[in-house]
Amino acid sequence: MDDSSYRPRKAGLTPARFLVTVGPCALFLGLVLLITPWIGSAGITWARVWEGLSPDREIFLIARLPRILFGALAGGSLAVAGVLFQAILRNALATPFTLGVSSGSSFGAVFAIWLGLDIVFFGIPIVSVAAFAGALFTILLVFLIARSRHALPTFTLLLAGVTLNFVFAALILFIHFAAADFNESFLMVRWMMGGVSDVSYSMIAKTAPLIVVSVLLLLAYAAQLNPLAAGEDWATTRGVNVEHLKRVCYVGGSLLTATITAVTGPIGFVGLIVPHSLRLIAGPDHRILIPGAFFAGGGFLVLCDTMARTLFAPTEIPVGVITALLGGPFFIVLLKQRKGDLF
Amino acid sequence: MTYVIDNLSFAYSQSRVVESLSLSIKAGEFLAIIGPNGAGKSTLLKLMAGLLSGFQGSVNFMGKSIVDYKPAELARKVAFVPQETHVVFPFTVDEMILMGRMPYRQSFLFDTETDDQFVRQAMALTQTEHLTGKLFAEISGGERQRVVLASALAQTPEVLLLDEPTVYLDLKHQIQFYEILARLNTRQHMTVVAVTHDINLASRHAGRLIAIREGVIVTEGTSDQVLTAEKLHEIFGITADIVERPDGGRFVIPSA
Repeated sequence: MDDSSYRPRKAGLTPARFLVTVGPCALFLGLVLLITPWIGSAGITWARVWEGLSPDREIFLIARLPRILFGALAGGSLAVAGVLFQAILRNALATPFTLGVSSGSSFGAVFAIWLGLDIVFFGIPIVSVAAFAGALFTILLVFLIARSRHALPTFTLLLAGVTLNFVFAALILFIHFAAADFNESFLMVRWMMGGVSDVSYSMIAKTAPLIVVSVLLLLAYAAQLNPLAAGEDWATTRGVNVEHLKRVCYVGGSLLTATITAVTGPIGFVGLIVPHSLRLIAGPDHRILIPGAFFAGGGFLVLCDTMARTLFAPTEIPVGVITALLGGPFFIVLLKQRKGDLF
Repeated sequence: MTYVIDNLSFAYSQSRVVESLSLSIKAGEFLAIIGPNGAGKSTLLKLMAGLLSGFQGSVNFMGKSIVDYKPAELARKVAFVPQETHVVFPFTVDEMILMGRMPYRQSFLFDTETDDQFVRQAMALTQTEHLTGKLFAEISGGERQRVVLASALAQTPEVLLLDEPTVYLDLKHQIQFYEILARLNTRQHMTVVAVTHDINLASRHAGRLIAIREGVIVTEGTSDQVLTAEKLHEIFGITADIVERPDGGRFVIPSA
């Protein structure tokens, strides 16, 4: 056997190993959160932010900080959802959007824009409410289509999700074609590009507790996701209630994705690149991947968003462009460094 | 009795695979289940492992119906070794074996020193220590099957259920694998139930053979009782010569 293609690592997870693997991810996020508020088209200084009632303070507290904090939540949630979907579908190519959540919520948003509604529900814009409703509707629909005899067969789940993706994409195109005037059309395209601008502190306050609690709850299931990688029978005969696990992770991952997507629109690539990069660096143990992906995904998206708002300032590039252009090459380098097959 | 199976029937959608089958298995037995393809052998094994629901009749394990066991409770007593194992993510040999400790987990996050000890012990029993740190997907078929066995042993089960465990192994690894099973059976008194197509190898170690055809047991007994020309014709529809092995056992040479 060629010994160069792997790095031996201890099988068991000890608190020390948890700290060594998840710690750097948290550190990465911490550094990103500390540094990026100071980067931007307008130069601001610490002293003047501290002074009070200065333009610097406005830029720091109103324009940058909420955007950065929500970016961290968004990147973290999407990366965790990616880990979950890859685990329960046993498919390396699965993303938070594979099962239709993104197109369902896009359809909701586009529909609301088309209706021209301008209402705010409990401080949440109607487009976000509609997007969240669209996502929930999709989750339910996929679930009902795929469910048979109290079980959730993986392949049917995948097919149902992918099919709904196409159906919603077609409906979105139809609304575009049939109904939208230029202004609505612009709003729709803009929404579907995704991005974390226009985020308020109240939006963070509404979503953050939900997200943090969900991730912690899902972490309790992380150990059970490991044997699932070798098949459902393998997991069942090791004492895992596979159907329960799949349901929890499907609903949990979908809700995380739906919550974020309702605010930001679809942001691609984070849910694919971050989990795989972490797997290559820290191994496939889900007890490391879930918290690691939450921190690293958050840091990664904030970094990408900082580039999106500064590279061509004052014009902003959609953050999805950056996640793909920055994440893609990084991931390819990681893949190439490693000999042998990934899976 | 470890297993008491009574009047068991099972069907996948329309076709019946197990038909009113009854079978008792004693603790410490080494039982081989033989029979043609599609006879229902693997299905019977999966029913015993609690992997299939919706059967008729009863499967009792240690005095309790198999459906009344919680997954983890059953996994502490019964381990299952499939024909082949594919893993989607780059797990190491050690991590795969450690998964056998799942049913004993106390902390939702961390593993214990005890878990680690059982993993080392299982590796020693299966001669897989040298594979430590390697990726499961990158080792040979023979090594992989021993690692899967090690993972099953890390469950410290009382019963081992094996579904054609040596079907993809070369001759040397087949022999080696069955020798490990025989040792577990004689030294640790582990109950071993193996579905197999390798009559000759299985009959050397198994105390009892049962032959299944079309979901029913056609014959059972010691290898001397089951491995006769007439019985083999009845089970597989073949003609075979039976010769005496130097160690006294029987050896089947299929001819047509």
